[in-house]
Amino acid sequence: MAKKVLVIDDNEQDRKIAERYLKKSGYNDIIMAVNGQEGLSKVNAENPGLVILDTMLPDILGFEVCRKIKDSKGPQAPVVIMMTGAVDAVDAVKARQSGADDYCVKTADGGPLLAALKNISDKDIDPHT
Amino acid sequence: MTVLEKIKHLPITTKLVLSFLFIALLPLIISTYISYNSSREALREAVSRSLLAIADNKINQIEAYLNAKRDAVEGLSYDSDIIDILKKFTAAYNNGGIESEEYNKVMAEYKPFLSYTQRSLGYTDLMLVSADGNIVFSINKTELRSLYEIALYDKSSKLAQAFIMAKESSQIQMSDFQYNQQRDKAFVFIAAPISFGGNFLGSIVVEMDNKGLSALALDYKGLGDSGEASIAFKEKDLAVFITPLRFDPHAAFKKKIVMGAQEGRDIQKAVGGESGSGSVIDYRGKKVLATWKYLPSFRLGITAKIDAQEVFTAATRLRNTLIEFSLLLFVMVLAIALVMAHSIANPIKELTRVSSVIAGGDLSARAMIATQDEIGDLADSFNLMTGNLIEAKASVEREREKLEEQKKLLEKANQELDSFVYTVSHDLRAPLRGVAAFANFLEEDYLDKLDEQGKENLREIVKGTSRMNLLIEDLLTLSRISRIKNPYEDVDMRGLIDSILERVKFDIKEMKVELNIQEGLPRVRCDRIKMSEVFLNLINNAIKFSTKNNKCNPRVEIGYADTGGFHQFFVRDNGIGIDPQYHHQVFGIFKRLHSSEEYQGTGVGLSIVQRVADDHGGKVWIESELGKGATFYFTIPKVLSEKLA
Repeated sequence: MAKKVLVIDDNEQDRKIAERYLKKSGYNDIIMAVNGQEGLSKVNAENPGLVILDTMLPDILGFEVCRKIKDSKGPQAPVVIMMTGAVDAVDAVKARQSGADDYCVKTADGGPLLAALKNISDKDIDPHT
Repeated sequence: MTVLEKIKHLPITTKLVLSFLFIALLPLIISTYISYNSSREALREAVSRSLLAIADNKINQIEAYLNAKRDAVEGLSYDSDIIDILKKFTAAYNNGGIESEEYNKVMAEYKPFLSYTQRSLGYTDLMLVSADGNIVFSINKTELRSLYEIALYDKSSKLAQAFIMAKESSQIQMSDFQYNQQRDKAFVFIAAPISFGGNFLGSIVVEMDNKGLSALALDYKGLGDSGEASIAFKEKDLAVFITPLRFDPHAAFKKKIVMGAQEGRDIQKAVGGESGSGSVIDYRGKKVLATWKYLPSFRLGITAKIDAQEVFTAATRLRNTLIEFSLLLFVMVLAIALVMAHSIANPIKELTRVSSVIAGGDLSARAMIATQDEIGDLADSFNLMTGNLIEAKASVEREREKLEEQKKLLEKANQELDSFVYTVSHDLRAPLRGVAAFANFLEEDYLDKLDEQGKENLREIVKGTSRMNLLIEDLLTLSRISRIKNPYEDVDMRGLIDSILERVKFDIKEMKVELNIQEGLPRVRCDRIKMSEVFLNLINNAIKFSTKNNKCNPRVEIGYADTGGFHQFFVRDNGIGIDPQYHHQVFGIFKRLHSSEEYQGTGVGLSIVQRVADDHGGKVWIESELGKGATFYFTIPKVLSEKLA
């Protein structure tokens, strides 16, 4: 499970929370980006195997970022889990349409994120393993 | 429909015409009827009286005629010339018979005088009879035989009868009429005895036909179209007419009435010796007004009569005149009534027409009525009212526009508020998530390093954050209810409630709640997602309160009623109930009547119920008393105005 994870989120607290639950799930190589632009460069530069992507970023919409990651890397693209602090269910549909592999809401106990990570390892869709 | 109701439904023109006719014609008919009845009687009496007068007069004429004829003969019987002539004829007859020279001499000397007398007095024959019954002179040269002989072999000889009666009574006598078939005439003989110095010399006898009487009888002057006079004598049990009748010209001596028969009562009474008048049946069997009289000296009965029908003709004429007059009056009254009724009804019709035009929305219509009466005033007021109506409508329209504007402003403010609530709630979630997460991390990583006070403080932080999270979640739900409109669909309410119960089945099982759902819940057109929120909140509410109050047997009941235009649902619990003074507050946001320690929840649930009902165009209300449980009602219109998102 030695894969690199890129967390793209403008909220520092959310980044830290995500980092803690990722580490809890065994992901120790974690890098951060605070906006879409930086996220996209880091995907290219660092080649992460998994991207945790916030839906609402200050520069580019999370869904746009997701599409760009999947389009630019093709079959080599990392697994993308989109995460949202919004409550409307319509985001889930948008996330699927943008090519995201999974989708979860942000919570304090990190339950949905942990479930999504477990889901990915169960399906064994991590290309970098 | 009764007559009264029928009259009620008549047009106003008809009603007015009927009233006019009733008012004008009823007195007319009554007065006409009374005047006709009284004048009919008066007329009848007057006509009867004048008829009887004419009849009496007629009878008197006939009697006078007969008397005159008789008196003339009587006068001759006392005439000295006649006595002398009788003596000479008797002497000549006795001396040499009628062929003798002496007789011819007497004849030649006296016949011209006697002929003149006979003609001038209107007799058909004049005879001189000797005391021993020989006819010694006759103008018509009747067989000069002894009247005694005649009487012997012809008992019915009226000539002999008259002579003998006169001689025996020493008084002038008239025989009965005798019909001569050969001459088709009736004759009567009047015999007057002639005496001189106490000696009976003989008689003068005249023969008279019925022509004069017939002429009198046939003179109908004053007797109208049906009146007539008739004369008859009695022969055994028959009354025999001796003059022609008006309606039977050959009646003389041929028309006979059997005494006691139903017809000809008048003539029966007359020949029977009675005198009088009255209404009887005549010889034709017709009802007549008649007067009758018996002339004993001539043994004749006379009647004069007129048909009852003719007597009443005058009354009938009067009646016809009255009817014609009434009809004319009726037509005039009808015409006036029609004109009046139209002049009253037409303006009303015009007003009605204009009213319906105005009711149809065209306020520019005006009643065109030129009359100066009350209806004209009414029309003026009506037009004024219509004018005011336009003004009022315009002002209402202005008010409505104002309200519309305010409503838009209010809706905008509401939307802004909703959007504000959403944004605030959303933005609050991120830092709250941070606080909660890091409090968790602190608990996980450093719990054993904290003393009791530190642990207590940390627990309070966690408690506070979870409570705040709940509040924000509820606020977001409420805001979502307002913001999002889902398409209406036909929802099976039982299925919807069952899916809600699936979500709260843990609580129901845990709290041993007795659940009672009415059978046969309908399909309701509504927003399925929002309706779920309604039942979720109401059921949660009911479970919460019934279990708190009633740990042994909490009960929740869900029911339905069709109220015509609305579906009405209710959710009932047997919980603590709500004091009526708080009923108006329970649907307000964050209105909690109990401390959060006692009951969970944020107080948004009933607000959501109210929002959803409002969105659908329905209502919510509560029926409850403190300690007696509560029933929450809400209604959804059967026909929804489709305001989709």
